[in-house]
Amino acid sequence: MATVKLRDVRKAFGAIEVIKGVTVDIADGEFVILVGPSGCGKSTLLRMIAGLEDVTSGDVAIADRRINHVAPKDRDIAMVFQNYALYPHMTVAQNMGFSLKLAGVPKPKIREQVEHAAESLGLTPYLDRYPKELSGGQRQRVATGRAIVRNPAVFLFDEPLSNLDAALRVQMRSEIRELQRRLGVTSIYVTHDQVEAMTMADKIVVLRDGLVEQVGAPLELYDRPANVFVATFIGSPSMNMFECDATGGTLKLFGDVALPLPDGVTGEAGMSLGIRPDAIEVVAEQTPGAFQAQVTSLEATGSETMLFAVRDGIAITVVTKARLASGAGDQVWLRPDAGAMHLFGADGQRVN
Amino acid sequence: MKSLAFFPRTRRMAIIMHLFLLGYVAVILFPLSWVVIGALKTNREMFLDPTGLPADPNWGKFIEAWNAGVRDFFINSVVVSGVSVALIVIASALAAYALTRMNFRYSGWVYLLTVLCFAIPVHAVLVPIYGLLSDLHLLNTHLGLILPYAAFGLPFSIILMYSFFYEFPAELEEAGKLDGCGPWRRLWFVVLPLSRPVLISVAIFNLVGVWNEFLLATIIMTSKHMQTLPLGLVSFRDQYGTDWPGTLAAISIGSLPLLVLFVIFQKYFVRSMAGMGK
Repeated sequence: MATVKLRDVRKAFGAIEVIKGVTVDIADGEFVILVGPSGCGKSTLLRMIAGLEDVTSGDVAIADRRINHVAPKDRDIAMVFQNYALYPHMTVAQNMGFSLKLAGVPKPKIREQVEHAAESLGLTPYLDRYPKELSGGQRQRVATGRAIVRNPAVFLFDEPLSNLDAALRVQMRSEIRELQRRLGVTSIYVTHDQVEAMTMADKIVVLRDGLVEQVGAPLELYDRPANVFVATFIGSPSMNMFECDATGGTLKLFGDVALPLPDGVTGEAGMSLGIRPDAIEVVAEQTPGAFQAQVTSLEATGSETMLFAVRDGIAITVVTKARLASGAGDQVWLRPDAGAMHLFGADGQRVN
Repeated sequence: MKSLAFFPRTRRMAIIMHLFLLGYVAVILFPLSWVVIGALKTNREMFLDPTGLPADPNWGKFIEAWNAGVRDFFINSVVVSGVSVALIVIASALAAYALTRMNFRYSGWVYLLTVLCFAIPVHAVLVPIYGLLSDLHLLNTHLGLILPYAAFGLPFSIILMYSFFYEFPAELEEAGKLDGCGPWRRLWFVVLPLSRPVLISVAIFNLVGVWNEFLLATIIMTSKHMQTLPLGLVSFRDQYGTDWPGTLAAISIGSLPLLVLFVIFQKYFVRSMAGMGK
């Protein structure tokens, strides 16, 4: 068990810098998720912690020990790879016990540890099988088992669920999380799936273009995104963004709707107003603060309805518990919840 | 018919293809079976009815040939081929792994040089090789044949292994790194066990070449007791000029080991060769 500290970590491939100075503190036993769109550098960052990529500059420390130049095997870490990377020529038991074998652990001890891990993952009946004889979910479990057998200080997961079907992914999500809680091992998990990040993490690190956009607990990021990128990236369906003019003391939306400026915010030109789809109400008639939009489609799941509308070329998504009578092509009145507004300045940073 | 899956044409096409392949097999098998059947005949039958079957198959010729000198040739061939092929497999695996994994200075040039060596014909360097081996007092020794065989087998083998290692899944080795393997253990525990097809191809390919090699053996192994099978069979024929069944029995014994090996390992051999065009 250990803390992980990244201090102004940078990585360049030739002239191209892909990690541009990342500083993150990970507490002992914390489950941290690195999330971001593809190409944001999250996997590279994980591989740098693993020792599979060199650190161009900055410091990586595990348990307060600087490990920039320590070999992967001496970092006391275990990694679960995206495509599992199980050794095809070894049985499940051999795969799981390989690191112990290399470390010179006596055979009976290896067997005991492998069996223990296999039991906790429900892999006992498969110990003598080869990876190709297993299903995707079982392989994933073996990969996880291989990591926990070594009892490392830090777990690293590189998009471990991306090769599974949706139902299995949901199941494995909670299995991994439950396992991590039980073992209490510091874990760093990379995903591009913000739902995975929201549901699993103690702390999320949102990355874009090699820079940290925001660090925080899942709901912190959801409730108070630090900038437009995080606001639109976290949450599904994604947050509605409107350009608005706030120079006149109020927020002017679509030129005609005026909303009160939140306290302590000075209006400026080129601001963005973000409103979550569930913070917009569908109202029957024109009320103060409501604007009109045209329905493009409706998706009713029973428990809730998703309404897609458009106004002045801007797409709007609304999620409501109410059953709606409107259909595609109808005009509806939409009223944003004034208390749930996210306001961003012209530079994209949060101002309220 | 599985083998015809590449030609999913008409039935007539399939028949034509099969007839062609049957003819091809006949062309290959005829001389081979002639040799084996000939060994079972009497000398008289050989001349009266060269293509016919023996009236009373005489297996004794095989034992006779074996005792008349084929045994020594056979042992020489096994030692020379076995050791040189082992050397080639070990050295080419190490070289190819280093060339694909370690980005040392000039590694690209080393590979290019290897490819160039592949283009050197043995005839061009016969004289210097002879001189070198003579100076080293290696003429008429097993080592004197093993070293040039290994040297000439290496370039092609390195190229073959290089292309295999080049495409070896990186994450398996990365998993190895995290599990605690250095480069040697990675090669030994992760890469080599999964490289069986290419290792076997390299071994068989070189074995075929070395087992049948004649030219180098002629100039290096001048004393009779050191001769390998191809060389020995020639002198065997001269010595027993009139004993055709004996000579044919000796040839049969000489061809058998490769046939057996190839039948056992042909799955790997075909798989590896089929992947070469990539």
